Amino acid sequence: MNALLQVKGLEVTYGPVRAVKGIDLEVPKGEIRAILGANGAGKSSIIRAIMGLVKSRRGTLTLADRELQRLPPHMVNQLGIAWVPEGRQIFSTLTVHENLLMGAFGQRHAQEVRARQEQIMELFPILKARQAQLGGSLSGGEQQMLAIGRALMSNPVLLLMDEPSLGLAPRVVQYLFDLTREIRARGISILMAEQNARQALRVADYAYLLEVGEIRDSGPARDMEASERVRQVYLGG
Amino acid sequence: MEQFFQQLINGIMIGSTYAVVALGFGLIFSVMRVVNLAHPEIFMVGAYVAFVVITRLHVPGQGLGVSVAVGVFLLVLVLAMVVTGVVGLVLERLVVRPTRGTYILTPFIATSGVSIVLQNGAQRVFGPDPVRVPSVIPAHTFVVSGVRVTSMQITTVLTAVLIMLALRYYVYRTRWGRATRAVAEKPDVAAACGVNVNLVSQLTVSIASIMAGAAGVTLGLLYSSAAPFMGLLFGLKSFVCMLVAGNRYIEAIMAVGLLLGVVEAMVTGYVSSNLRDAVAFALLLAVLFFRPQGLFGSYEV
Amino acid sequence: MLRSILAHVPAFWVVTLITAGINAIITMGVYFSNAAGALSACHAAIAGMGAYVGAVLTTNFDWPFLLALLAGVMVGFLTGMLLALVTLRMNELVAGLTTLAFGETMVIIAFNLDYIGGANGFIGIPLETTFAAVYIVLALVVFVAWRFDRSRLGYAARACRDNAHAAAAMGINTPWVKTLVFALGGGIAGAGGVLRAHYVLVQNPEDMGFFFSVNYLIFWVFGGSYTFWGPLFGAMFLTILPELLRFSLYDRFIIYGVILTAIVIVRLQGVITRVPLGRRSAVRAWWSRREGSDGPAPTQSRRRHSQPSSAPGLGGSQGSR
Repeated sequence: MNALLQVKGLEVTYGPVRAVKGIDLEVPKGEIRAILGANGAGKSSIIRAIMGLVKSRRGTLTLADRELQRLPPHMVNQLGIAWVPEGRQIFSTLTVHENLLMGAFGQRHAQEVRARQEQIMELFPILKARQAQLGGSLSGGEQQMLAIGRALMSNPVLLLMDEPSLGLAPRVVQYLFDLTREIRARGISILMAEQNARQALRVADYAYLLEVGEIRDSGPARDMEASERVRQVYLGG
Repeated sequence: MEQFFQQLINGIMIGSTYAVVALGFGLIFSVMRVVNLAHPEIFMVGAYVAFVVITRLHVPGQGLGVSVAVGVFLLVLVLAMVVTGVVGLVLERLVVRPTRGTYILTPFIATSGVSIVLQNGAQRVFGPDPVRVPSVIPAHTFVVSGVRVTSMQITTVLTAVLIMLALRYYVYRTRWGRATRAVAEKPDVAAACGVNVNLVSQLTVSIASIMAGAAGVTLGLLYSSAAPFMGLLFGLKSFVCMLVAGNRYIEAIMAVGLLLGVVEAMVTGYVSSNLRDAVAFALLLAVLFFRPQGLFGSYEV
Repeated sequence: MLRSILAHVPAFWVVTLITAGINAIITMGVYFSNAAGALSACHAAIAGMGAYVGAVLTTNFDWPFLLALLAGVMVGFLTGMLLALVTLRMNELVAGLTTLAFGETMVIIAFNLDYIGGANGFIGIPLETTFAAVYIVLALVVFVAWRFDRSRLGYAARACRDNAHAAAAMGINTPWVKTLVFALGGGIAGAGGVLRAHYVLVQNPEDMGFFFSVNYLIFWVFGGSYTFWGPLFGAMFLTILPELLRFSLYDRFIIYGVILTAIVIVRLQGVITRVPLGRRSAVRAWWSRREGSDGPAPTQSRRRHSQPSSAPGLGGSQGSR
């Protein structure tokens, strides 16, 4: 199998409700793939299901031929998947430095961890400046950077990003999406769930369109941008 | 004036023990959102372990050299901590883990079942009446400008302080302590960072139980007695401390524990000893009315 | 006729059954009060307040028992209403703790009120409670609960419990529902308290304490808090069980504790969980409002995430720990 991440027949239910109704998707190595869709379409559920955070799910998930669906989240992380949650979700009672260290919790070698932290602080100078501050005192954009930095600390092969643009100013959003290209350049694949189709399609290689728990359309980003449906509903015509 | 300092010392002594037990409660609650009603009983188990070890060892009590006495005390303390630590582990695996994360009352009831088992187990094995715990630390009263402090009182405070310092070190300066704080705040995110939340759960309950056990030993030696129901009132007051302090900061719980001890002592000395037990609830009412999340705030529940 | 049947039952079991019946009544009070999502940790105190009032009326003022009973109901109702109003804006945990504090405060007040006996309790209460009285009241309460579950108020309460915000969005007057329901539960507890006082013939301040309130909560959750059969079963089972295990003084409580813990763990949702129609409808109604979307966005309902497949949703967002 070529693809790094393979999802087959994924179903996610919350009690009586089926949020995700049997979808297939994959992320090949070195690509950025986006899941587009409106609020509540089920994008977050897919991301959380891959991460192992959802109790009731069916289907198979494989990362480079290792099965994920029975693993608890910390093992999924140790296999090389890192999560940038919706709404940042940084640890507000821990300092910036400690947040980054948490990202590398599963990693053993202290040297490597320190080196990676240096790298990340170079990528995000603002984090270096605010190292000793509590996470809760950062602005929205800074928190998003911290969340991404934290995820990168575990040296993942796949980065899951859940609505990275949510609640952020346009300029910050632009910056963040440019950043994803940087990340891809370093060999990390990305799967992002994003409402902001314009920005997502700008950087993604391939996109899936999710509506009411099902994939309605998918294809290379260029084609999706050009598609009538996407244009009308998500890009404003 | 002497009376004031005397009560102050008494208060700090008992307050430090409240603080240790309250910290255990608070730890389990803030990390796992579980109210562990068996925690006071684990405190009681600690006292009984001290009883068993000391009577089995036929410790002569008085007439021991200081260093031997301290050695025996430490031995008893360590044994009690091991026993209560194991009890905590079993409790976590069998009772806390299956019920955490669900409705807030479920672990509450499950642990109350455990507390019933422990209380009645203690009565069955040791009888319903308090048993006498022979003292280990040679009794010696220090008098400093009219204020009397016994050696056991000093031991109690010292033990409590050391435990609290150790806990603080663990939580703020170790990897697992950091993970514990992360889990307390956002368990899903912590899990996605590679933290084995079940392991943190076990660590937390064990540590809290060890602390309760140690507090039980010191209190048992202080009052020279262990009883099946000693956990009840003590536990309730510690629980109040946790509520009043909020579960956001360790130092808050420590401070409130000490405060409660001191206020109780002052009320006992200056007003009436009947009202001593009411202090805790008066404090609870007063604080919760104005600041429902506790004096120093808590995580969202 | 009842008397002749009862004559054949050993007195011991009659006592147990009467006690079980009284516990069931008070636990039904808990059921009502908590039906809209509250958590009352002071029902023993509410019952006790009703008990004190009823007892004083019959003992000191020679009121007929029935009127005293109604007075107890009134006291319980008003207390419940007061508590509901005070805790309306608090989050569930703090509200619960407030009720706890209230209960303990009542104990302390009772300790210090010499008119009602102070620390020695109020004695000399006439024996008015009979087996028939208890079970007639219980039957009445069960009937009310049965009608309640099927009534608009019942649906509204359950909707409030599942998700207060959604309920409000659906047009339910949540403060009113919560208050009414809590008051009802208080009134029922008051009745139970009066019955108890006129059976045990003494009313002590400690009887109003946290320990007893927790007992009622345990009966409620153990039995299954989503339908009225649950608290009924829970109270009766957990009152009778220790009596069945009478072989050894401590062993029976040890076994009781083990059974309690085991059952709670194995059946997290309580023993009786026939999911009532009303609940499904409340949830469906809410879903259909959010047309075009499905499933709660996992991050949206952080504070009131209810997991429909397990215990009632009063906890926070610990979905997948």
